[in-house]
Amino acid sequence: MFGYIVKRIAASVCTLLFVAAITFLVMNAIPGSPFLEENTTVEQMELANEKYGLDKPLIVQLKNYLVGYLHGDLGTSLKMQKGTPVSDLIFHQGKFVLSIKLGILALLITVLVGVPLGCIAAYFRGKWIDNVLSVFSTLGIAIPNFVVATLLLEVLAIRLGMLPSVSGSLTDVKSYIMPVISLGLYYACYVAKLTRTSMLDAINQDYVRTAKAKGLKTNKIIFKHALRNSLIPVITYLGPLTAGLMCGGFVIETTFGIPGLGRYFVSSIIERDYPVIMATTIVLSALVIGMNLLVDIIYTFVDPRITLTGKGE
Amino acid sequence: MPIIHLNNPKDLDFLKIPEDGFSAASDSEKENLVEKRKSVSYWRDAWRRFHSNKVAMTALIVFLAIVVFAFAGPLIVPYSYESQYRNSAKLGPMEYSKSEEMERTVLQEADAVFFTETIMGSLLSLSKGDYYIKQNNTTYCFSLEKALEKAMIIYNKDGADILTIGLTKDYKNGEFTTVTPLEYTIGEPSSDAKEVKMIKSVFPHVFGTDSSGRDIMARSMYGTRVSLIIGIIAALIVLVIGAAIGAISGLCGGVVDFVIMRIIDLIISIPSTLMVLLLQVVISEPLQKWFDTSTWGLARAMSDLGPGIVSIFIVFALLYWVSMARIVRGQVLQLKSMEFITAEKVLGAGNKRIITRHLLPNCVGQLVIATCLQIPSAIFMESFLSYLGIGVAAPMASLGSMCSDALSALSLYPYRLLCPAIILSVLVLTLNLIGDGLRDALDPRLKK
Repeated sequence: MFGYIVKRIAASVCTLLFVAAITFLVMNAIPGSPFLEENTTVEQMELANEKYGLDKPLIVQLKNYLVGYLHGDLGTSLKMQKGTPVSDLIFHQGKFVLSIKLGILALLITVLVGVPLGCIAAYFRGKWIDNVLSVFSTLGIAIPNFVVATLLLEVLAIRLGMLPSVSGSLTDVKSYIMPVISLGLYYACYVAKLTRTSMLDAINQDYVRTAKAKGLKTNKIIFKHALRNSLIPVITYLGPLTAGLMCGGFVIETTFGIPGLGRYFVSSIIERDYPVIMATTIVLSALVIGMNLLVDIIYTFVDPRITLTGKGE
Repeated sequence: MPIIHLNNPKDLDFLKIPEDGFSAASDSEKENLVEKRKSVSYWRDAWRRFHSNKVAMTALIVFLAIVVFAFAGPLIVPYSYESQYRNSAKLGPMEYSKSEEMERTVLQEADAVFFTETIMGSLLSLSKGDYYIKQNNTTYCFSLEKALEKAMIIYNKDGADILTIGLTKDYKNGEFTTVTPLEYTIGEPSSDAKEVKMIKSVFPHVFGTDSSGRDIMARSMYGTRVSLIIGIIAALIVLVIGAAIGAISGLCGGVVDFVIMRIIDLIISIPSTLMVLLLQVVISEPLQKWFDTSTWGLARAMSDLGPGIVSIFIVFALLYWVSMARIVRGQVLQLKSMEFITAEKVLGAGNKRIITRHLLPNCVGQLVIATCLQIPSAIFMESFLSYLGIGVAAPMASLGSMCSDALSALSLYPYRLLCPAIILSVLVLTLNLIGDGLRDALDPRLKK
């Protein structure tokens, strides 16, 4: 078990390094420079490049970034807020916290709504409840989250005036409602479908039949025996779910005017602010890769059938 | 007739069968071999299953309706997706602009009205020169000495072939105050004469127009076409790359398989949306440069699509093939160890025969399902990028970019968001349902 975890951590670190290298290369391939403005002279460009180390060979630049990250230094913004350390921009100005808060709440909604609905649908398989839930979850995964967001905004905030239209920095509880719903709806529907399928799968298994034969009550069979096993696919989905929520947040943040990490990332690409692009990508990737790692480790505890050698399958 | 008794199958020795050990089959024996019912092929069987699936069939019909809307619609709607029609900005659904309203009134009273070219929504402006009109197999030719602004040509059915020209600025209370008879000749038009086409009716702006006067229905049709094409091409790219790599990985095994699987693991754990955003910005500009300079045929074809769309394809080719490769590899590995493949090998079949006759036909169901489900995800990705403003660029439109355009004046003109959003959602919904239906039809083992 210990060996497996060490191996997985090593693999995750490798992936993160790979992401860093790729991002760095891709970023440098973007035409344009952070210092390019209307009346920049060649000398000024060269001076600026020298000052921020952009004249060094790419491999040295990459090394500098990575060494910096190991020391907890995310670099200094070149353009968007010139001279400010990126860590200040991301962590202290609350951008990261905002995105994380939004993501965690949406994750909770996804799991707390999706799983029970999936169970209910499986429990009432073929009944009208199942059909209604099926229709809703199928619709839910067909509507893009920006449409949900704008419709909620239009109806609840502007027409009915029930909720604040600009969520801003998410200061009160009300301002969370619409962003979280529009971010979590797609995934909640997906998880509901996933749970229903795996639940039905579990119900047809032999151990459920044995439990039935032993005379256990249906509720107990479903919620104690079948549910545990049918949650495994949901746990596997947590990794992609985290990635989806963090990146889906980009659109939601744009729509609701929330100054989070996603919006910041998009504008940093457009502004060619290299250290900010690097740092944001690394932080978000670390989050997603870390979640994948966590899921892999949880997985081995939840499902003892999985081999711990790391080879899988 | 000597009969060979086989008590023990090991006794069977073909070399020992006597020469008269065979005899012609009798008629009754032959009858058993006659095909009683036509054998049902895999696809026919799958179609039968799909056909009986009501949800999937409804989805298929709705999907086909959307395809017809997108591809055949422009034949009926006379507006183009990029033209900004004069005086027609910010019209609601089914509304007409002032000048169109006038055209409609004139059309009700006069028998036929002609306009130059086929530009709808802007009234006629005739420059100096020769013109001809074809009506009832007669060609009327006339020439104008000076340019006329806001003119209409009225063809009077009752008075046989009397052509008059009226100026619409003089159009009041259902009548033209100045109607000048037109001097015309009947016969062959001169070579540089322009044709004036007849307009029988003014087509409504069914979904309204946007703030620059572009018809939203024409744009929706175009956007649906763009989204569909993006979805299908991206899915095909994923299919080709994923299937090839997956098959190589599964068939070769060993080191090749190991390396490919590690690469797949790596790509899967990269947060793809981040990379897509980065790549999208990176690829677009060099692509545009390449399109501008290259004379290669492919570059020309792709420049019609625009760098935004092509970079979506590149991103799909780089990052999204992994799940397809996994599916194909899994299938190939599973099939490779099946008895019928072993039997085929024992019978002396080569690799080529095994791949084309056994592996491919057995994978094809899975491939079709995965490809079909890939289309909506590509459409989603495109709309996501266009919504953030880095996908399809104006004047091109996709459903995502139309949604994004609608945001600025959402409260005043909600239909500008609703029209493309509903089409997008229905498209994705039907494709998902068709995919599920295909899964049940092509892979009945999965159905519970």
